[in-house]
Amino acid sequence: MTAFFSLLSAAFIPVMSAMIILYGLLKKAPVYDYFIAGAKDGLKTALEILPFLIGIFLAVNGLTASGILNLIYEIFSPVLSFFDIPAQLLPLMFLRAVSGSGSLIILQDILESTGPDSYAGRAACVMSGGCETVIYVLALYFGVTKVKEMRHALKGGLIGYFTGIIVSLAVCRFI
Amino acid sequence: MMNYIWAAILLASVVYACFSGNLASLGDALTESSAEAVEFVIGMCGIMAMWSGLMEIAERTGLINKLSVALLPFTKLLFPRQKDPETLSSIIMSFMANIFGAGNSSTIFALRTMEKLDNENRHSSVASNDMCTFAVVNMAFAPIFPVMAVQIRTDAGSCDPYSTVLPSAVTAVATITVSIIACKYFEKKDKRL
Repeated sequence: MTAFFSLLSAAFIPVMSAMIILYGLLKKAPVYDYFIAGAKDGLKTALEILPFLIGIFLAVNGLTASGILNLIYEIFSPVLSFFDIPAQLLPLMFLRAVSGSGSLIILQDILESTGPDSYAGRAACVMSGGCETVIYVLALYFGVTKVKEMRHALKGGLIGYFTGIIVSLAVCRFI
Repeated sequence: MMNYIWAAILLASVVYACFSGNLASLGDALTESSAEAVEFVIGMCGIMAMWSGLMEIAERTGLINKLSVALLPFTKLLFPRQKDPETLSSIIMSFMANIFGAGNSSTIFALRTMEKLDNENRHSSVASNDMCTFAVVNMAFAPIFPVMAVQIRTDAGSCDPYSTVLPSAVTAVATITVSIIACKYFEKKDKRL
């Protein structure tokens, strides 16, 4: 089962590439020239998002290094214990919104301290998979546009994010 | 919006670090983050250029046109007014990459999509409906099979690494549904565009 699905995700990039190139050859297109032109554009985009990434990394590292996240955890831990949610999940709930690599480290910590088959361990896995790094993604996406006002993108993203958290907590109780 | 969030996070961090005695480590962290961001982009540069190159072939040979026409019935539901085949196919590629668990590739298609939507929006400072819907729905998409979670669980010595597969699927369906409903609701409420 996993073997099949890992193969599927592993095959995505090579199969897509082969299909695109093959189609181009059938159309007798100068595929190499097109590729180089496109790659140039891609590098430009990479450079364009760099300033936004520096901005986000500053904010995320500021949050963690100042210790302010610990303060937030302390404030929220009574709420968590009220709903009978393991306190170890709290850092993940917050950090997942801003940092993919940061939340991965937290996920591994949780699995190590509570065990991968505990409720906390399973909920943490589902949460990490089901919640996107909303703040990070939005800054990145809108970074390549001229948009100053995101309208409901932030609200919608956060609603999706918290739905992911609540549902993963609930589902892991039953399944 | 980003102005306030960003400023508030950084200012709060500095103020709190003063009281908690973490000022020195905050300084280190801030200087390191810029270097970290540069390293991250350098790591992504290659794959970004590769996909942009391949997509350029697909675009100029008309493959993308064909694909987006075929999938029009689905995209119409989410983006009823979107007509441009290149934008539509870029949206579809981003969703597909997400579903197949190719996260980095998905980000690259998403950035392409946002650039195209920005052109259509005439570089306005206010986000269009399609931008919001695309961003929110793409964020809600999760890999159809959580390869990474299974791997991490196996490494951590789980006796049943697959036990989160079904909960993940349920969570993903719920998140996508709620996200789409929320988006369409906010869209109706905010009639500016």
